[in-house]
Amino acid sequence: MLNISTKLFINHTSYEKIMQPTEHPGIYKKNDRLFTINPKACTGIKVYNEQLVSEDGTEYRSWNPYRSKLAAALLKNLPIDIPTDAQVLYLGAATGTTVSHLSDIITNGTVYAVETSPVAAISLLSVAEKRQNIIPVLADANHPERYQSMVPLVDLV
Amino acid sequence: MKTYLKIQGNGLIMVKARSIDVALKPRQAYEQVTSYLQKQNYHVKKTVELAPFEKDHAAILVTP
Repeated sequence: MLNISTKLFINHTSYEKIMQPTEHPGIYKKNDRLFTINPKACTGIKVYNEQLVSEDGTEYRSWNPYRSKLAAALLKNLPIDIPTDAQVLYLGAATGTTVSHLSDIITNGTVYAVETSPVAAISLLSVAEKRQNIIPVLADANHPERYQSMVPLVDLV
Repeated sequence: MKTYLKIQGNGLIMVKARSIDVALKPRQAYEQVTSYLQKQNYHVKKTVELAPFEKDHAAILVTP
């Protein structure tokens, strides 16, 4: 009985905070953890076993700073603007974990995800299939001229 | 980056110090990358270390 009441107490003090917007559009915070909005088309779908949190009919995906260096940089207060209509060229997309969160953020933009490894690109493709704003490019990022025909001028590399 | 970036765009580079030179201290490795970028006429806006999330990594934000 005592155990249960202790649990309830903890629940009320530290775990009941609601999702808070950050200074970056499309990025949210709860209990000092970063979240992005999972698009309707991807409801219930995890990209890399991240936590899904539903609040007021919106599904959020937790963004793990130990796996994504962009998330880590944002938590370390990197002064970067990622407008929701940004065109982003992402070199070394790998399996598309960070790319999936970028895709959540830039709802009116496009992320061009370049990856040289066909094996990693398989996972990247399955992420891109459900997200219209990801253009997967199988190419070696060291040779920009090889994918020039597919990528326009961008706001962020 | 020169090929693809808009004039007012941002470049973000994640640097793994241990992949630049294991013998260097991480800070020296970041400085090496920073001065290389400056030689290529990039303006370095900010360098942020990613510890404790990623050890010996830094994010370098540049503009053309």
